[in-house]
This record gives sequence, C-alpha cells and structure tokens, in this order.
Amino acid sequence: MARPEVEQAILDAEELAAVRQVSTWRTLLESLLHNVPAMLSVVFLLILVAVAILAPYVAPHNPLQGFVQGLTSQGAPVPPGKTFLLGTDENGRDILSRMIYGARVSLTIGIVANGIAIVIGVMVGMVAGYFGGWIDTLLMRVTDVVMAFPILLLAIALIAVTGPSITNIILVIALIYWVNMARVVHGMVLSLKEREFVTATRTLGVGPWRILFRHILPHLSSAIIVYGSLGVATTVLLEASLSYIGIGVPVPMPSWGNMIAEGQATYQVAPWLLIYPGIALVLTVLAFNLIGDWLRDALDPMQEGK
Amino acid sequence: MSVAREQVLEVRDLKVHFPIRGSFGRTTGIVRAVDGVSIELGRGETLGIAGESGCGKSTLARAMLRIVEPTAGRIVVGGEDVTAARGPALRHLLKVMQMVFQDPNDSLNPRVKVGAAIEEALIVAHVAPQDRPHRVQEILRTVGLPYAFARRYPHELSGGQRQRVGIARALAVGPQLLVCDEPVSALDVSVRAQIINLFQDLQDQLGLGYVFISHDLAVLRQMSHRVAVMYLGRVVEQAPNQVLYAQPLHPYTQALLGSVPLPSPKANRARQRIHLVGEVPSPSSPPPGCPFHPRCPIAQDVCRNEVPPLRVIASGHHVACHFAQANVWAGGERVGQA
Amino acid sequence: MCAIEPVLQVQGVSIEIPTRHGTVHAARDVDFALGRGERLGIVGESGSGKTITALGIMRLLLPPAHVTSGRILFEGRDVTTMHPKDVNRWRGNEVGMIFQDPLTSLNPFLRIGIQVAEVLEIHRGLSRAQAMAEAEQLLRRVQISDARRRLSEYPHQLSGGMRQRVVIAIAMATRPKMIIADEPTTALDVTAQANVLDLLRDLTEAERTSVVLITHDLSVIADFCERVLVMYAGRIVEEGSVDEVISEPRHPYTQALLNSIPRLQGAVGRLPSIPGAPPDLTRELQGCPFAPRCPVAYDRCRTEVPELLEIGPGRRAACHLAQPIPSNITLEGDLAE
Repeated sequence: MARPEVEQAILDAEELAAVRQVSTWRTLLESLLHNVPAMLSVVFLLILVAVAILAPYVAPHNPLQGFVQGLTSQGAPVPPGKTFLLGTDENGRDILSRMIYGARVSLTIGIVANGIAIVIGVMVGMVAGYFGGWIDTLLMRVTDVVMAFPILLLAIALIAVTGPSITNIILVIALIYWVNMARVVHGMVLSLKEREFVTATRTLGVGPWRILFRHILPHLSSAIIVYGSLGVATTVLLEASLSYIGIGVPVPMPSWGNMIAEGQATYQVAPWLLIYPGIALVLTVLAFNLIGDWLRDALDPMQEGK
Repeated sequence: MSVAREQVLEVRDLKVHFPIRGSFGRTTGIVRAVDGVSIELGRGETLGIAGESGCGKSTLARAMLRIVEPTAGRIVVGGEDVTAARGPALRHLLKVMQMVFQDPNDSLNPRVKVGAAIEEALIVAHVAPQDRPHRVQEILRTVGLPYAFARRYPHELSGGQRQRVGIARALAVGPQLLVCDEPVSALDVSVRAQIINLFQDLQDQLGLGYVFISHDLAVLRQMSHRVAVMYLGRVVEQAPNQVLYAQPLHPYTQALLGSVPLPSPKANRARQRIHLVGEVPSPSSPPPGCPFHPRCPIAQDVCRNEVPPLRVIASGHHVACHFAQANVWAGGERVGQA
Repeated sequence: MCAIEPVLQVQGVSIEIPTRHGTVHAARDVDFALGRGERLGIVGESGSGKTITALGIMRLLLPPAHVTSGRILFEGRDVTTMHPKDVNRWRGNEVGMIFQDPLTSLNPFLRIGIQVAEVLEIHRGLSRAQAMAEAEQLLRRVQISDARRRLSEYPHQLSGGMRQRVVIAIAMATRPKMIIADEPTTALDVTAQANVLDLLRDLTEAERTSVVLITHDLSVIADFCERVLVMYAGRIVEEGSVDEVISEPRHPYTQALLNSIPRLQGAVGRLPSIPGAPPDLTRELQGCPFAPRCPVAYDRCRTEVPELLEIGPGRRAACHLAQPIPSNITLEGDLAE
C-alpha cells in the first residue's frame, strides 16, 4: 500500500547523504552478475561474434571446398570425427567451417538489418508521435498496412521482385521490421511530449528537432536497446526462414538457414547436417532473447536516472 | 518601488475554451477554463494570482506564453500584439516573457545536466559559443548556485536547488517578465522562504515583472504588489496588496484568507472562518448567475440569476459581487501573534 | 495534555540506511509517547527523519533501511519484535495511514466503493452488501456529497481534496486507535487543506483516536495539533505543547522555522530564511548538527552534542542555550550551498 512513500523517504535520506554519482554501467554490470542465464548469453554471443570475425583463422577448412576424404566410398557424408569435427555434408564440405562462416552471414544480416529497421522505426515513431496531425495519421496508416501483411509472404514477394542477394535480404528485412519499433516509439513519444520538461523546453523557444533528438531520444534509449536485442533474434530467424525456403542467402555461400535446408533431405542417414546448424540458431536466438529480457528488467528502474 | 510604470503586459478579455470530445470526435461540450480575464502588469511589478485548483490560473499562464492557444481576447507584450504570433514573432515573445514551472522535478529533463539545460536557452538567445560557459556561470551565480553545479544532473540536487535551476533557465534568455506557476508550493517552508527571497532579489537587480500564481494568499502577500483572485475562469476581485488583505470584499477572497493556516494556535482558534463547502463546479457547466453562489455564505436570489460584473469599488479595487459594499471583513490574524 | 494513558511509546529508536556512500543515520535515539486521543505533530525539513521515523513505527521500512535500536510499544505490545503476520493484522485493525498523495494509496483501476468495502470485508468481516452500505455511510461521514454515486466512480474522477477524504474514510473504517498522517494536505489547496484538517479533527475527536501528523509546515501543526515534536537531522530537538512551542520556542531551529513562514498580517519585510542546508546524515555527530546554520551558536555547540533535556513540564529541548530565545533575532543571508 505504501511502497512508493517508503522509497521516497529513503531517497530523501540518501539525497542528503551524498551527491549520488550513480554509474549506469556499474549498476548494469552488477545486475548482470546476478543473472546467470543473461551472463551466459553474453559470454556465448561474445565468443560467437569473435569466431565470426576471425573466421579465416578459426575455421579448420575452406567452407566452400569439397574434400575427397569428406565423402565415404559410397559418396555419403562423413559423420563427426577427427578430421571433420562436426562431420561433412553431401558435397564433402566441412560442417564446422561452414557454420563458422555461416555465423558471419547470419549475424551480419541480423545486426545490420535490425540496425536499419531501428533507425527507420525510431525516426518514423518520433516524427509521427511528436508532430501529430496528418503526418501522424499518414505514417501510422503506413505502419498498419505493413503490419497487416503476413511477414514471410511479404518477404517472399519482395525478394521475388528484387532477387536474392545479401544486400536485398538486409533491405527487405529492414523494410518489414521497422514497423515494430515505430509502434513502440510512437507510443512512448505520445506520453513523453506531454511531460512538463518538454513544455518547459518548448517555452524557451527551442525548436522541435532539437527537442526530439536532445530531450526525447535519450528517454527512448533503454527501450531501443531492449527491443533492438529482441529484434536481432527475430531477424536472424527470418533470414534462416528465407534461406530455408531457398530465397535467402544464395548457395554455395553458407548461412545457418540454407544449411538446415540442405540437411533436411538427408537427416535420417546424416542427422549432423541438420542438428548442428539448428543448435547454433536456437542458441543464438535464445541468447538475444535472454539478453533482451535482462536489459528490460535492468534498465527499467534506472529509466529516470535514479 | 516606483509607482508610475511602463506597461509590459496587457491581457484583454482572454478566453481559453477547450472542446470536450465525445465518441467519433464530436464536440459534446466546452470547458471554459479561462473565461474573459483582463490583467496588466508594469515593469518591475508583481501581480499575484490566487485561486483553487481548477480556477483556470494555470491555463491563463500557459495561454499567455502560447503553450495553449487562446480562444478569444488579446495578449499584448511590450506593445506588440502576440495573441496569434507565429515563427519569429513568437520567438521574440518568448524572449521577453518566460515561465517558471511548479515542480522542478517534472520541468527539468532528468537526462540533461544543469549546465546543458541553461546553455540550451543561451543557444536560443543566439549567445556565441565562446561566451556561453561564462554566461552559464554568471546565471548560476545570480540564482545563488556555484558553477560546479553545471555538471550535475537534476536528481543530484535538492528540491530548492532544482527550482533555482528552473529560474536560471528562464532567466538565460534575458526576459523582462516571468510567469511563475506555483513555483514554491512543492517546497518545504524553510526552502520556500529562500526562493521567495531570491525572486525578490532578482526583481530588485533586474527589474523583472512577475505574474505569480499561488493558491496560498500568505505567499502572495509576501511577493505581490497587486493580487487578482480567480474563480471558475474569471477574476472575482483585484486590488493592491495592502487593500486586499486589509479589506477583502468578495466572499470568496474572504474564504480563501480564512483557509490559510496561521502559525499561531490562538489566532487559528479565534479568527472568523468561512468554510467553503462543496467543490469548485465544473468549468464545463458553470452555475447560472454568480459562479460562486452555490458555495457562497451570503448568496441571495439575485446571485442565482445575474452575473455580477467586475466593478470598480475604489481606485484599483475591482470586485465582482452584488454585495461587495455590504460585505465587510471581520476576520484575519487579529488575535495574538503580530 | 500529558500522556497519562499512552497508546504509543517510542523508546530510543534509531534507524539506519546503509548506502554506497556510507550509513545514513536517518533517525537517532527518537523517544516520545502519544496519549489516547492526542494529536501530535512532527515537524521538520525533508530529510529530517520525520517520515522515516513514522515508517519505522509502522514496520514499513524497506531494506536496507532498518531499526538498529530501541523499542516501539503499542498499548504495551512491542511492535519491533512482533511476527510479520501479527504486524499486518495490527496495521490493518488498529492503525490507519494517510499519505501525501492519495493516488498512491488508492488503486486507480478500482471503483471507490470496492476499495472502501474491501477494507470492511477483510477487517470487520462484513458481507459485500453490508460493506457497501457501510462504505456509503463512511463517505457521508467524510462529507462527500452524492456518496451513492461516488461509490461507483474511479479515483481520477474525484478532486484532490475528495480523494484525500476517501483515504481518510478508508483509514477510519476499522476504527483504529491511532492514525499516522504523513503530509496529508501538502498536495492540496489551502481551502481543501482546511476542510481535510477539520474533518480529520472532528472524526478523531469523536472516536478518541490518536493522531500523529507529519508536516514541514508549522502553521498546519498550529492549526491541528496539541503537542509537537520538532526534528532536525534525525533527532528530536524540541518538544512541547503547540501553544508553548510556538509562542516561546526554545530551540533556534524552531524559531527559524517559525520566522520563515509568510504572514497575513504585520509589515511585509524580507522573509528570514535559514541559511545553508541540512547536514550530511552519514557523518557521526560532532557537536550540535544545527550549529553551522545557527545564529546563536558558540564554541560549545561545535564540540558537544546537546542532549534532549527536560526544560519544563512536558517540554524538552536539545540546545545548550535552552532558554527563551528573543524572537527579534533575524537569520539573514541565504545561499543554498
């Protein structure tokens, strides 16, 4: 019943105790140490990113080369063993090396596409929310329309028109996913612009763009970080889905999605083709989701710098 | 202080009406938040505006700074009609007139450091980049804060210090007039005295004019040269300070005065107290006749039917009450405690 | 006015809050008693420990804040050692609470009637229908017009004053023996404040309920209370009947608080404000905590902590100069440092 009052009393007492120099980073790090799943996720992703960046040095084999010893005498894939740690595919290529290079492709698409989506979404959401009127109506109708389409169908249609390439996949994914961010930001800006400090700044004669970028954007940062990390997970999944149905990353370039697609045909005789890229995909998506959840909890109470 | 003053603000018959929107955006009624207010203010003068919450005093302040759009009437600042000013004219208005908000917790951006908040105002006022740090220091000193505070965030300050920052920011553009909306009511009594003193010092040093809004008539007595009492969107009494507190004529003013708790138990027990029963009526459906009649202890039939005009009773003393002359005040802090 | 039959006895209570910047001594050795039907005021600036003391009494402190020493006796029972379950029952049945912002104590999503009735159902065992009828009666008693209609309204549909009266109705619903009101009128207009205070006085007088009213404003205390405690830096620095403390303050801090209140009469001069800021509560006391802001402080004040001593019948003060202070002392110079 009286919890806010109790907190306020303590804050008042603390206020007098010292000038509080709350370090956001330190607090964030402390909360990470208390959240084992999130910490494991961070470690996992750091390793994954390092491996992806260092792929040429880390990968044991050339991912595109079919090895003679990578096929059995019957021409079947070799199961996991000493030479090929995670086995080979039906072309005699090393699965582990392909996964390492595939991480490069999947993560690049996930992060870049999501980054573009965030920039578009934040801009649209801020402009629509702050200026209101016909701009708001127009921009929000556009987001409604994009949202109304089934995502996968829309992506297939767009790629069918533009042709599959990594750049096109990134652009298509960004063009679909910005709407989520725009929705979130739009709602937040609607309430932020009613806050007294925005009125006060406006009364000083400060222009709308400066208010948006200097005063409103910082309040969106934690939401952007949270939805951004959750967004990477969905983007990586969408890339995998597109590659899986054959309109994603063009073969022979490896991505986790097209590896899973290729492995599907032979999973009864050579399950490792399907299982290892599948595990990598699931773990990555899970890690981004766990980090997103942790950030949401950790950043929420610090929203106003307390 | 000087008597004959150059006029800096004139508000004529200002109205701010808000439509009430029902389903499908149809207008189902009108809130008459400000309903025909006329005030003026000279250079270096303080006009106090008193009234309960819901009387329209905050809307009046916001309309003068064009935060909300006036529906009718005129606002003249420094001889210029700014009622419908846009673009450069509006920016000019905001340089002459600035606002201090009630709660510095809300009106300062928690993510912006004190120095940056003040600097922002300097940018608007076209102060050259190399002069800004010096000006920030100067303005902070004016409001009694050390320069070191420029590097602090609002939550690293006490309530009183935060309100000083709010004042500093308003001063940074070099205004002649500050509209202060309940600037001390969120503060402790001891801090309140410091801020009231600061306002008075600034007036002496810079010749600022204030429109000072408060529900507390004791604070207004300390601050103002003249006081206007508002009820339901209108001014019901306006008089010079000495006159209003010695001889309040409107029963609402008397009731407000009777509600101020006095720092003396004996005086509290002894004084006349008119109790205002009920709530302020909704400004969307004001009562007919005198808007105060449902709560008025001396209301007659005429009050229920006829709106009393704001009449001049004595020089500078305006009252909107049918029985203004007959209604002599016998209350106040008469007993004990000087 | 002397507490013959104390409802509450607070004996040497200290409250500490460990923080990153050191331990905050939020309350130091607070000691007082509250008589049956008595209205006691606690006055002080924010951070003086008045709210945290009340929360400590109610066992409402959140960790890391905790009571480090002392006893709190409510009708002879020690609250500090009570089982948490019993604490809940005690708070619900025998104590009522009113806070500054009625919106934090009312649930914004529940109708007023349900919120009042719920308390009656839980603590008085009434059925829903009985509780609703009783709730309507309660709203009438707190002078809410059109009580039947208000039962089905939500908190945001009421004015601030009305909301606070609903909170009072809820607090009084269980016929508590003590009410703790923390800045109950600070968010209200003067008119609503006067009404709420009068209402609270009438209700508690009729039921002989004791009240602890916490505020920063001595005028509110002068209007409402019989006895007053003045707190500074977590300590009680003066205690006495309201009449005596206000007409003849014995601690310079009390005098300074009184001087800083704007008046409705007399000459309008510069308001004497208290220079400086409250002390850092993480430090151990070295001398009187008010000494740096005190106009009459001398050497002894800076080295020796003044004890809270009896200086007359029912009067205590913690000042080396605890003799009547001439009221013509003005405290000048004001800088927030």
